Formats: sequence, structure tokens, C-alpha cells
Amino acid sequence: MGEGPIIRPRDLLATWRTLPLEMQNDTQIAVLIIKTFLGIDWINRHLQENTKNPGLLTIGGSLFEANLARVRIIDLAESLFNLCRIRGFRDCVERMKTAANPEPSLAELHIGKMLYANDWPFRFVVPQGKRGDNYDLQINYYNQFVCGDVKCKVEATVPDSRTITNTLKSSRTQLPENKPGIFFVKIPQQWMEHVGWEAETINGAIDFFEQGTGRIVSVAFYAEPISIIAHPSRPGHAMAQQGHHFSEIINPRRRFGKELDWRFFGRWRPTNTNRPNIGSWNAMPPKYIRLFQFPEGLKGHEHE
Amino acid sequence: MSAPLSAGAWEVLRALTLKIRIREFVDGWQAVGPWQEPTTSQLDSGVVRELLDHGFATREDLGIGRYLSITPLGERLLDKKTRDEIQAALQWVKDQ
Repeated sequence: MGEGPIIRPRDLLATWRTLPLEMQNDTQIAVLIIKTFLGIDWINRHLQENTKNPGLLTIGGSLFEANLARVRIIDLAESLFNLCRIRGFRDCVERMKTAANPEPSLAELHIGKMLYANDWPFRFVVPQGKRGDNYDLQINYYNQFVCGDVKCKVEATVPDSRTITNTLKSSRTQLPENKPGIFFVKIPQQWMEHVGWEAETINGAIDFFEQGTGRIVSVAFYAEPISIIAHPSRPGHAMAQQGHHFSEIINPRRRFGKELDWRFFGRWRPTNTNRPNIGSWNAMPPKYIRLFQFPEGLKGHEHE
Repeated sequence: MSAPLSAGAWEVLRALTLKIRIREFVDGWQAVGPWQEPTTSQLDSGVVRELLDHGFATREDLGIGRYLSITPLGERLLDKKTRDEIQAALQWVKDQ
């Protein structure tokens, strides 16, 4: 499939300037971007309060739920806006458009966002639904092509290593036998409220590896906690945003790249105090344009 | 019930509804929690004062320290703003 629309920062800024003052907010700009990529029907199905099938992005319910949905809407728009030049992006968006539940494609975009932040060349691929050929991403890891599959449906309300092991075990053959493979597993939001959830997930991966798989080189767990970030040098500027937290577990029995550490998310570390440009308000590399408190995040990109 | 809050004050109000804990220390207010990065968690005291002065937030002593919490007035204000903004955005894109 050919590539789709591209939104440039300067186009976005020009549109922003035409908006009435009362509509100049980050929610407005996010909905505009989502419409460009996913269309008004998709917005009606997934964002509207009165939709038949409310989901992660529906503005409704309690104040907590409505605000969480707002954060997710802006986060989705950011991902679409920043990743629209990545190969295979259009396919990913098409899947999101047609799926009853947008969560799997949303998860793919989130992993894409972190690969992009960490400067890994990658592309979205169309899962073929066949044994050994049913994955979402292809990543160039030091000139080796790695096949990545994103799991966002771990069915358990409390942290449970057996659920993790079983999910990985049943999905193993989705990835090819003759290439390195990686699973990206999204941890359910409610797991993070339990003490020891991280150890439980790691044990799930270790138990999976002990069953003998060689094609899977690592499992990366990720969670999406919300935090508030204050601008370190601009008093009064703060934003509540969805972050990404990763744990990467390497398979000691891996068949590929025994000399490599197979970690993907350590290149960009916003909390690494040894890198003075980090710890920033953005919490992402400067190339990733934030939409929260628009147009604050566009500074330095106005002419692109 | 409109209030001329700064962008930072709105974000703090939103953070409170998203279960982020904001604690008062001797040198000011700070967001605390496992996901908070200490170097960027210190909040501007003027922003918090805005919320306290308008009655949209209050100090609450939880026995383990004093924390900021949203008041019913603050909840109503933010609820209206959140829903109004998204409805206005949805209407606008439909009209285009």
C-alpha cells in the first residue's frame, strides 16, 4: 500500500493560527490530526461519548476516565503525527481504521514510537496470519532483521507469571524459525497497582525461555504510566502525560546473535543524568514533537 | 464557573484526577510516585497557589504528609472543560 498523508509542523502551525482563540488547545489539534489519518467515521465510533462501543479513547464515564481518554487521544495524535513517514505506517493505520478494537494498532504505534525515539530503523508490516509469518514489525538491529510481535491482550486482572508464559508460548510460532524474533508485551494498567508486578512479569518470561525456545531473542514488557512533568527552567509549565516504562529480558538460550544484548530501549533514557540534554520537559528526543500544551512542543520545528 | 487558570494550573488539576500524588515539602510542591522523575517533578508554587486560592484544590493531611487534593468545585470545573473541549473539537472537525 502506498504511503498516506503527511502533516508538516508548519502546516499544523498554520492551521492552529486560523483557529478561534477559544479553540486553541491541544485537544483540538489532536482531534484534527486524528481526523486527517483515521477519518470522521472512526472518530464517531471511538471518541464520541455516545458511541455504541466505548473504549480506551472514548471521552465519557467518570472524570478520571474522561481525562485518561483525553491524554490517550493526544498521545495517539502525537504518534500519528511523528510516525507518518515510517514505512508501512499506512498499513498500520488501515488496520486501525477497520478493526472493531483499535488497541492492537495503538500498541504497535506505541512500540514504533519507542523504536523511533531510540533511533532503530524499522517498518510496520502486515501480519500474514500464517505460521512463522504473523508479526507486526521488522527492525534493523545492527544489520540483522528482527521480527517483532506486539501483544496487548494479557488476560488477567492481577499480575500472574503463568498468564505471561502461556501467552508467549501460544504465540511463539507466529514468528519465523530462521530469524531472530522479539515479543513486546503490554502490561495491563491495573497490574501496576500491585506490589511486585514487575518481578511477576519477568518470571513469566524466564519460565517461557526455560521451555527451550531459540527463535525468540528477548521479551520486552512495557507499561504506560501517567506522570506529570514540570519544565525544569520555565516556572508554571507542567503537563500530565502518558509515559512508557520498559523491562527487557534476554533469552539465554537464543539461537541468534549470542554476542548481542538484544536491548532496544536503552539508547534514549530521559532520566539519565549523565546526559545533560535529557531530563527534559519533552521526555522524548527533540525530534519527537509533543502536542501537549500545543504549540509549546513545536518550538524549533516551526519551519519544517 | 469559568476561571482564568494558567496552563500549568490546569495540568496540575488534571494530574490530580489521574491519581498522581502531589506532596508538600518544606521547599515547595512535588509530584511523587514510582513513575515520577525527581528532576522534573518539582511544581511551581505559584501554580499550586492559583488552585488553592480559587478553591479548586485543597491541602489534605494524610498522616504521612500533606498532599494536594482536588475539591468538588475543581472537579466540576475540570469535568466541564474536558467535555466542552472535546465536544467543540469534534464539532469543528465535522463542520470542516
